[in-house]
Amino acid sequence: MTLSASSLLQQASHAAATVRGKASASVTLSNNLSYTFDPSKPLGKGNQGAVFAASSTQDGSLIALKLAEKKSVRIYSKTRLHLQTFRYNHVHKRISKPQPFTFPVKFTNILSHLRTHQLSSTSADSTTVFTEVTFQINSDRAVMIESTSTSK
Amino acid sequence: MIKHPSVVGVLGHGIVKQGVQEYIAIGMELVVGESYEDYLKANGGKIDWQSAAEDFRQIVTGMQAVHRLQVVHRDLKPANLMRKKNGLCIIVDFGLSKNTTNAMGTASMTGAFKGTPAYSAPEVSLGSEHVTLSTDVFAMGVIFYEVSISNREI
Repeated sequence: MTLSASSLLQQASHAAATVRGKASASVTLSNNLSYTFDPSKPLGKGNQGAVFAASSTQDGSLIALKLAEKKSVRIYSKTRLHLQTFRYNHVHKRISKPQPFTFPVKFTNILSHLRTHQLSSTSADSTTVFTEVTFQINSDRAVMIESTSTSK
Repeated sequence: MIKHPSVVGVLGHGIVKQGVQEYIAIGMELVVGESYEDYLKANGGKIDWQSAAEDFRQIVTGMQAVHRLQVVHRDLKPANLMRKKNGLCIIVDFGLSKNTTNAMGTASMTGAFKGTPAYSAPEVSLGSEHVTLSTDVFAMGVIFYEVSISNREI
């Protein structure tokens, strides 16, 4: 989560003013206090959701409200670390049959733990397709060179 | 509830419905400052070791309070550290945190990778059951290394 630095307070105040001025979303938290916020004006976005300035309906005080999509599907996986990007690109988008793709390898600290340049691993996504994937690791890119899938 | 000056206060949680989609909402104190990531960029990716040491003293004591409750943050990185103008550093975004003593202590997806790969300990690749308090220690080490020598790769 990266909140915009110097203008955060200004953004928050503006968002709160907007919230107070027109209809918006509201939420009652487990502390039994209700807050309103404008879903169209996030303060920042991160990997796991967005952050909004929310205003208390009781005293107008501001809080940061993080919203993350509630996943209704359990994803079963035995995927190894070197498949993370694959999973984020494919399994999380619920694509049961992966297509050949490449992605930049930025995680040299992780790759340094790998002993070979050719990797294979297995993963299972929520659509119950079991997929075996083989990657070819080049200097800075990983290329999926083979994949098979069978029903569970 | 974790109460520490270097840990963002969590006020409560709830559910927000927008159409058919549901969102998990976490209410937190509004921290006004800049992310450590932005702070680093503003300083050319490197800050002097005295400042880094003081910032890390705060972060480590904050994480000590978190770990006392057996909670793993699981996504420590400069973007999840806020720095106020007065120099106070605050750990934010406990969206991936997990209570290691409670199997139900996480709202994230079972079996899915959690965290940011560049800051993740190698054992995280073996599955979420291998995530321990040490996972955060590894991430703090990567951050400190990055801050100190302006390079993340180790």
